[in-house]
Amino acid sequence: MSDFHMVVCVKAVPGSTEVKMDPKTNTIVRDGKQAVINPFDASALECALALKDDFIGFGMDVRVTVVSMGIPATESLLRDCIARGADDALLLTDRAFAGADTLATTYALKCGIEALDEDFDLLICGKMAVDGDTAQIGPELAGAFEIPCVTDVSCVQSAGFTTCGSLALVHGCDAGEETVYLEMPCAMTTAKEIGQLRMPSIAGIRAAEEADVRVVNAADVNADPARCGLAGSPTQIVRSFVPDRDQTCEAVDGTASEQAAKLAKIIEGMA
Amino acid sequence: MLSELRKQLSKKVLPTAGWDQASLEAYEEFQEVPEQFFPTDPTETSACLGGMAACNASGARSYAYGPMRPHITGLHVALADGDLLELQRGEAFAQGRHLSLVTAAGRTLELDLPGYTMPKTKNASGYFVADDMDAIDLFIGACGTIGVITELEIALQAAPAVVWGVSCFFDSEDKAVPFTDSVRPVLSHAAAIEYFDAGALDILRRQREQSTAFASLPALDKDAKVCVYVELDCDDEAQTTQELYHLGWVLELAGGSDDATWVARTEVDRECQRFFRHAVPESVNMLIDERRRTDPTITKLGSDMSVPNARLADVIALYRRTLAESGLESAAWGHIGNNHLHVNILPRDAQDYRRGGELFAQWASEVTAMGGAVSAEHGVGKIKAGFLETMYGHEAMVESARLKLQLDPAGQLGRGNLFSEKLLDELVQKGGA
Repeated sequence: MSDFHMVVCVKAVPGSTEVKMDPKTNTIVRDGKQAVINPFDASALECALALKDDFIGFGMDVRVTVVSMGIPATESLLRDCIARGADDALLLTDRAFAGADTLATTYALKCGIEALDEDFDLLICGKMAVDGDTAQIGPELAGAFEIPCVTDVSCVQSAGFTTCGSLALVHGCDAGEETVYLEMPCAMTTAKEIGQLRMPSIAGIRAAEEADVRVVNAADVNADPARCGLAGSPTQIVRSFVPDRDQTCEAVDGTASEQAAKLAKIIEGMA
Repeated sequence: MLSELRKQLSKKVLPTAGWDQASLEAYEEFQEVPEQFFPTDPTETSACLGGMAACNASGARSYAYGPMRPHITGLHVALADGDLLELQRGEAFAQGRHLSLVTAAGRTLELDLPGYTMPKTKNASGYFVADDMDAIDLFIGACGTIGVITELEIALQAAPAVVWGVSCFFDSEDKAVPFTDSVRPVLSHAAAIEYFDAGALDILRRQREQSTAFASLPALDKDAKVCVYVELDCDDEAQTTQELYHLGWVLELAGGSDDATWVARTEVDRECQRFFRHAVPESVNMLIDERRRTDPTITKLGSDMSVPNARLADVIALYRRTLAESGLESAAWGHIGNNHLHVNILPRDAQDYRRGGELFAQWASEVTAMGGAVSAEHGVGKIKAGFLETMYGHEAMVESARLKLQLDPAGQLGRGNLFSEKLLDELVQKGGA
């Protein structure tokens, strides 16, 4: 057992903006080609690794576990996370998980995290995925585990952790930014500003090749099939489409008063 | 422009309006072949292809792919009198050191090539001349002194399937230089071997702290004093991994650590490394711009010399000894795989600037004695034209100037490049070529 266990949730997303959609289910086709770690999740992992560096400096034994739900090819991305400094990884992969909305994804991730051999102290997710843009998984997971959650964290200060057992988190809010102090266990979602994911070293790549990435299916983690994948997703995507961009631009010239009059006419016409 | 070429190649979509049938058929063929790339990669992506041909530009990947020259298959060159030369690689060759060329107007030019022997190292100093050479090579790297390139044809090649960048950090230059010597024969797929010395890394550390524009540079470990960057261009991931492990093995033998490395395997990481590498010259330019506010007479002084493989340690020892003696501030980076570093002297005032110039002249003599070149990729241009005489001697300068005057009798093209205007004017007054 470690002194401090962090779980980081990562998602494989398409490496390009050209996303293929399944015409029947209206969900994104994930064939693993040129998949990358969701950029926000990459920041979440960097946050965990930076904290790990800090805590090791405090003399603590720290563990970072990366968890993902995805197709079997996602295993290579998890090995990449280990090459960069994570200690181990769990991949939830099963056809039963396919087509999951955020509720079903949260359920699967919760089952996976509960199946780990150690409870977590800190759960870190990227604030959103660039393919889905929901920003729901982190807060939903926190809800599922009934722990506090801070979203959109841009800075973590660990200096006071050994004395008061809490982390100072700077996060975005309606008023701008605020600093909150959280005791463990807790969850947070990270903004990209928190840090760029470090590159792996040759030693890390060697270690990742030999590392044990635990690959599990729904049954392995005692997940109820009725709560997984499409079956467990109340969200129904009726249609996906690229919005038509039919706006036109009209230049308004003349003197200031002439421009104001023309503008007023345009606005009247919009009513 | 290079950046435009890269953009179009990556999309495989080229503007075809006005193309003839043969070009359109070639375009269709291009669409079917694997991804193509143009390997010459000078740091400045706004470089124009014509300019790159005129100075025989290089870049980091020249270690594997050579400079611009071998990738140029055709040139159209406008001569000083308005006549045109249309050159295709493999069609016109010198007989020994004599070259006969027929212009578009049907005129035959009988050219005597200079008799000097080029060094067996990366070299962009003066005219490319060799026995029985291909005529096209004379005009590549001629710095616009014998004709104006109006059209050029370049050969693309299949892009490597896997490209990984590896930054290896050392706590001392004394480990990085032997590492370079050792790793060259071990790696079969190294496209680039680059170097950043302690001065260059210190500048990056400062920039990262002080400038928001550089805040996203990856943080350097405090023990990282110097860096050797190796780019691996391979056929598949298994091959790349094998090369990476060979690299790690040599690294350990050289006293480095495979832990003190950055391996860029994803586009995001490669972009991060590109930013890191390109931030060095950019930061130095900014530093000099700042200093020019107080003394506008100073400029950056950047060396461009290369030596044969066996003299890498010697030339670096020369740089270190003379820089320490002079007390000048410096930062060095560049193509250590080709024994070709850009040692940049960062003058604080006019006196530093003058002393830096003197030091470069000293290096030009010593590098020549090592069998090296005074300019490996930039061309000597105007500022370093004097070094060409140091390298080849006065007689070679006269022969080169005579060659120029055979093609440009009034000495109008690229005046001041390669030769002093005084030498050209004297020859013109004596009757030219």
